[in-house]
Amino acid sequence: MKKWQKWTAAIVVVAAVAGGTKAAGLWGGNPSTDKNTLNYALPADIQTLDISKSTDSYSNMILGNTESNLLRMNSKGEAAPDLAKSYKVSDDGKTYTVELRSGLKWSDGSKLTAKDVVYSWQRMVDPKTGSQYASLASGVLNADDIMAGKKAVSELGVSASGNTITFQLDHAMPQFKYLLSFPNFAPQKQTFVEKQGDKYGTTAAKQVYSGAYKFEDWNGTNGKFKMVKNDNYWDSKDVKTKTINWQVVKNADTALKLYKQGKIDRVSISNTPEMYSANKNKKDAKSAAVAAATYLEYNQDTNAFLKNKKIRQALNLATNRSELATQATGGTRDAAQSLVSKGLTETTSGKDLSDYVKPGYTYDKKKAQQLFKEGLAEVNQGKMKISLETDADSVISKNTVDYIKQAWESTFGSDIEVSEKIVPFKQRLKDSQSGDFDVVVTNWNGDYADGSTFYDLFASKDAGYNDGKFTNQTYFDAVKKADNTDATNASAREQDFKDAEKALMDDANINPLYSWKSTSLVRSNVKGAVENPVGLTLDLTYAHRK
Amino acid sequence: MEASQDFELVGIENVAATEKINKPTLTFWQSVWHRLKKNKLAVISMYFLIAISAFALVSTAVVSQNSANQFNTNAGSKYKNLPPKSGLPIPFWDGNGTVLGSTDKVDVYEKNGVDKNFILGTDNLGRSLGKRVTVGLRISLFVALAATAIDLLFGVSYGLVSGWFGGWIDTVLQRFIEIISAIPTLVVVTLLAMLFGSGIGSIILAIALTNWVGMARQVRNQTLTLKERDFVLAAKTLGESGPKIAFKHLVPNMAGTIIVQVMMTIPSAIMFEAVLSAINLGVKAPTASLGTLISDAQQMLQYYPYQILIPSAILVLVSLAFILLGDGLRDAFDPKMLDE
Amino acid sequence: MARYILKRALILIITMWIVVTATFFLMQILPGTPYNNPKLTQSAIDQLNATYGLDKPVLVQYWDYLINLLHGDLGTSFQYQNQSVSTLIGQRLPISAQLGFQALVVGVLLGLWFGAVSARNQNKKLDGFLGVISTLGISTPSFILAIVLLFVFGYQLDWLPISGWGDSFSQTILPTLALAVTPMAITTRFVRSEMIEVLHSDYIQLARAKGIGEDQVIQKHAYRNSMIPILTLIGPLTAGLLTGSTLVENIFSIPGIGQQFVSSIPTKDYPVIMGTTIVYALMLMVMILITDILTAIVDPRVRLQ
Repeated sequence: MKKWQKWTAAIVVVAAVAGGTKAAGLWGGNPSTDKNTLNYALPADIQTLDISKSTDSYSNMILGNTESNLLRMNSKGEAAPDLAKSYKVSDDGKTYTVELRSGLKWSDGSKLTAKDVVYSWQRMVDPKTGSQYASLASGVLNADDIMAGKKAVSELGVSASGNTITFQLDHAMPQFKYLLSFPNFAPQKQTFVEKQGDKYGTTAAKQVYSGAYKFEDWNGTNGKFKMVKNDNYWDSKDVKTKTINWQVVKNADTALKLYKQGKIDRVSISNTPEMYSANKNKKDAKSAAVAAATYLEYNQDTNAFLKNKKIRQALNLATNRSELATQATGGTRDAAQSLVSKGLTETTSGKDLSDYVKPGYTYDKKKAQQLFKEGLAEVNQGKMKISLETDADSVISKNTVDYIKQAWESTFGSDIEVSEKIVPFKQRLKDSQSGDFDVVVTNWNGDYADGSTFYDLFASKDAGYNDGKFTNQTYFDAVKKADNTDATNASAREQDFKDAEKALMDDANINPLYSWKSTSLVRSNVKGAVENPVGLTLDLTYAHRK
Repeated sequence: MEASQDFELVGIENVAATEKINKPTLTFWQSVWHRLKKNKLAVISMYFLIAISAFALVSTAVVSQNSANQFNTNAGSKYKNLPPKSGLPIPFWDGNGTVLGSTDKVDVYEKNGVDKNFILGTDNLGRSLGKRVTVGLRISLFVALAATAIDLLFGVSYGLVSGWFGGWIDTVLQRFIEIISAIPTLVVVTLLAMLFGSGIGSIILAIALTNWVGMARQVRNQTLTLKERDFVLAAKTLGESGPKIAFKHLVPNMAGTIIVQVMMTIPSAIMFEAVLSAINLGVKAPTASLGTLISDAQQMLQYYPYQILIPSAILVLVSLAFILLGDGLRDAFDPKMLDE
Repeated sequence: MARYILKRALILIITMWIVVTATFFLMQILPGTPYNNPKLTQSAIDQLNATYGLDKPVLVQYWDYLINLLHGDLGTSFQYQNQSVSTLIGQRLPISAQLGFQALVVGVLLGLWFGAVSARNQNKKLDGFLGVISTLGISTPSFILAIVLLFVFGYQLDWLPISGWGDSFSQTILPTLALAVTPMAITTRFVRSEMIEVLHSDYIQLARAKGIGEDQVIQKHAYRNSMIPILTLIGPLTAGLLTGSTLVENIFSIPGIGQQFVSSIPTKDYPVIMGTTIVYALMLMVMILITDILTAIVDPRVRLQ
């Protein structure tokens, strides 16, 4: 070997050894026993800390734990006062009066007032802000007109007087209280927002915090940051954790490894069917409901075959939902029994809403074949050729369309030909919105813990999410009744929802596939964390290590 | 005493014999083949590729594209993720594996009550991996060959035109090539695939539209050299038309360069097909290609490694064979190698 | 020399302009919406389009883009609210650059070594072995190698971290190796043939004839003369690395621009896709330019062209 060759070899060896030992050194020490700190991982980058503009659940998770709203969901799934001392709803359900706690402060020490709440709502609906979630405010007096640029922002039905905030609504909205706990409607400090301008929310320092923790060390793109106890939070005496360390770990296997080494306190195992199967029986595995449902939408506007009720019913009957959940999702999701997902909310009698409304979806191959034959004869256009569209966000969604294609083709034989169309997420959205599909797999994440977050999807033929453009008057009437006549009568609403589900199944307007859940390994010595099916999925306000 | 009686004439007997060439005359192709034969790796690769292509063709009749997508929709997890089983007691090929969540090694086939043996195992929906790899290989080869054929046609014409006409035409065409090469191939392929949407046709087009550059360059350079040669000048003087000279005199004389270039283009097309699959722009599901098999099985690596390692190994072997054969051919075409 | 560089720089700028224009109009015809909220209504989309200037005529948008580009402004990401594309790329570029540089250094150094050893042992067993290694290296795409390395060293042996960047040097080993193999293989083959040619050349024969020791012949004469042509390899090698790094970064979850590019595709984040394309093209062209200038300095004949 020549001199330089020896040097090369030496450098490579030294580098490898140095790297190895450094890595080995890092494996030492176990952070899972330090009582002052908690450690968590995010599976994706934070995209923004702009309260009005955040759209993804991970940015929302950071915001939800560092910003407080008027109400906060507690461990029982109720909207309990946070920044609010109390709130009142008028008898007609159209006016909400909220009284703030006194002496509230921002993390920078300045006063947090009712005006900050009003400003946040106004900023949300202001077309100049360009918020993608502005439509959530729809229902508040004048909100729609402001969003359309027809009225001034100041005309929004949210007003402050002293410590009191009044919300005026167009009509009774039983779900409105949940919006008061939404991270996107948390108060924002006007002077601060205006001072930061374009840079607002782009780094941890370019945001002020009203929640139990302040956010630190995020420079806009880095993957390691932390939440530090906010001494200006009104309930800081009950916040026991001093620091929560966060890191972005995109690789699910790495996250699992970190959990096993004690470096993070929680890891999701429902990303892939294999990871789920390998870990679901561990004693620290915990499942929590997620208010999300996956269903097929049939294009009943343009597709002659799918306009036929018998064919739709046949397709629904040929879908074996429990097999689908086993084979395509490996058990990471539950078979659907209704449009509404499991574990969203409970009825007045304490039953899970989905269990209460389930109309009885079944798998019946014989009946399906018979209905399909009859349907085809009625349509009289020969072989049924349809496309089945989904977005390629995960293995599970690919498996799902593979399964459905195979299930339908093996049930109806040569009478049907299903072609898969797997497109990027945003193209799928566009296709859904413009009705450019035959059958599309839709995932819907509920916004609040109330049935209407699902049923309002198809409130009318032209409702924004009725992509299949179906008309089902029985369903429309039931939903309308729930939203209006029965808006303040909880038990009557539940019955309306049940009627709606029944009508949906009878006409086979959609095909519910599965209900989501999230399964994680959770460190047993961490107490007080709240997992919500909607909104803030992981609330660490009172979480601490025992 | 006559000297002629002591010495016997053994060499050339007469004047005519001095003109005789003892070695058999070989045509150009015969001599290429003669030289190629000496390179064992190249010959093995060639036979391997012939066998693979024959397999891909013959299997069309046996394993249809559709049959590789079949599985039982009502069998629960009975057929899912079965390890390869040859039916013989060969380690790692006997159907033994661990069930996720436990550490014991068991015969998964026995445990699930499966009578059939899947030689290459099954995937996460219970589809036969053997069938999927067969179809995948066929599709990947088809994509690569089709894309290369387009490259060949386009790249050769482009290079001929550029080299033959020279002058400002050459300058413009070369500037264009420079611009194309300034964008990394992956970016171009990705943007084109996004534009055309998924499907075999669009992938072929996307790959072909980026891969012809190398061919065009080579052909241009060859044309520039060849057009100064006597036989071309002669043809010109005799009044043969441009296209005729190009195809009758130029192309046959650069056949070696072209063939070698083709051998290098095919593996790169196979690779780009896999890359496109990895970013979800591959062939239409559930059709299998080597690329989609690899990318779909990526998160299986830790749990069922055979699902990703088998198609990966096949992809590498096929590329390797093309490159080895290409190397061999390049040497065989190289006159410097003559009689070595 | 100055004129040569000036001319090349001018061509670079024109080429960049064409690249920018082509990508811009390509983006215009791609399907999909730039917004990621499924709950948007058409009227809300119209408002957002107005806010982001997407309702203006395409040519106006193009003009605005060009003007902004001249100020180094690549626009604002749709996916990362308020975040400018320049910042996003700026923070990820050093990571990709480090990975690419490490891979290039490891690959080229190994390649030089293997190539030289191969040439000196021409047609011996060692030569054959290295030949197989380098051919295998060329025919294995880096993402497949990444998967194999991940399987062996990450999962089976559990020696090295399987993902991430910036916590420890050990995280960089597997991705660097995965990327280094292609440059290694190409350099090995190139150096081998260059060295063989040089070793057979007249001046080496003369040196030998003069009785200089074989080691000295190789060190003093053969190496130096066969190293110069390797400069020309750097451009193509960089191009290869750019392609390889996108998928390798994705496999190892490395927050570089390759991963950024791949993840901006399904989300149709146009400004990011365009920004990364421009940065990629610029990097590649600058590398080629540097290579050409270096070659021109070393080999005066080039300048005459």
